[in-house]
Amino acid sequence: MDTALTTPIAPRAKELTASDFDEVVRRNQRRVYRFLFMMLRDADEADNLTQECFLRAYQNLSSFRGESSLETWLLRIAANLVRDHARNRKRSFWKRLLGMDGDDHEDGFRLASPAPSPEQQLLAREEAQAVLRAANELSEQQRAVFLLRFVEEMELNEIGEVLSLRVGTVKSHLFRALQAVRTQLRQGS
Amino acid sequence: MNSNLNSNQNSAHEPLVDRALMGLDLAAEHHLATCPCCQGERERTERALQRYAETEREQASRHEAFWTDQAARIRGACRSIKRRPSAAAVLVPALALLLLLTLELVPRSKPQAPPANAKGQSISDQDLLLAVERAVDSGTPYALEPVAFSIEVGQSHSAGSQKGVSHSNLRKEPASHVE
Repeated sequence: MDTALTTPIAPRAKELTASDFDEVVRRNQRRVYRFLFMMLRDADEADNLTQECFLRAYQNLSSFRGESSLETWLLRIAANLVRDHARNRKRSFWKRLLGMDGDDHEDGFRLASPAPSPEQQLLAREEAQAVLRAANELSEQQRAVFLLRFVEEMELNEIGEVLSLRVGTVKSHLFRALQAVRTQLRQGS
Repeated sequence: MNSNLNSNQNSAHEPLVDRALMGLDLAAEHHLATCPCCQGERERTERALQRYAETEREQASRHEAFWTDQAARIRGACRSIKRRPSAAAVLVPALALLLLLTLELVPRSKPQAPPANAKGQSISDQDLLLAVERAVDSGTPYALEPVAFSIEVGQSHSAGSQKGVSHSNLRKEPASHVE
């Protein structure tokens, strides 16, 4: 079940009661989690940061001015959390180097519902893997733009709001991401 | 059908395919409508992206119990903390307090007159009243004495011509208030 993510919440967020905020969580938790999971490739981290994201939103509801939708605002908080998380990961470089934190992104990437025939299934799997490889090689910001565009199906201006980028920069990131994807697809074929 | 762009077309057509995939460009769309090779490339890339997106969504999907549990944890965490007040809610009382402190601490520009001055003023007024009273008691205020003198001189001349009044009686004797 997907959530009713586009339903607008009252812009006067500072007047939201605790039960209203429960509804905000219920409507947006899947999307926030999915974005975090795709960016981090770690289910536990995505779960923790989803909780952190809503906690920060709740603490700072008074600063939400209603200029963007509440879901865009939540995704912006999530994107900032990913950025902070990446910084923390850089700090724990030595820990990872010693093999205490190993995660292989591609290992956990299993194909969704199977294609009708084995040949088609194989081809689809290869194509999806090629896109994943290309996505993993992108910079953090390019990957965020790519995921928000093609998985979350957001408009360019919304992506710009989430990542605090100009539309021109979003286009530029997307263009490079697509080039990388098609290069991977060509190599795969 | 080989849907990949051949090497000759790559450099010229790839940007058009990308622009069309981004959904931004009418010129690219027009080109793709008339170029089967680019159409094939676009369809292939779109299919791969769609497949990838479906897979990502499925990877991130969880059982309903997971979402219920997560929402409960978020609810619990939110209730254990307080919302931050808005900037205005913090700034307005702080500014008011600062203003009050400033008014209280900054020395006043006009120093107040010491109370002794007020007392001195009342004493001075009292002295003035006493002087006035003494002058009234003396019959003629000191300032008016020359006028009174000239009037009395005039009167004594007219009376002296009749009765022969001496100059020693020219000054009026103070009238007694106590009978």
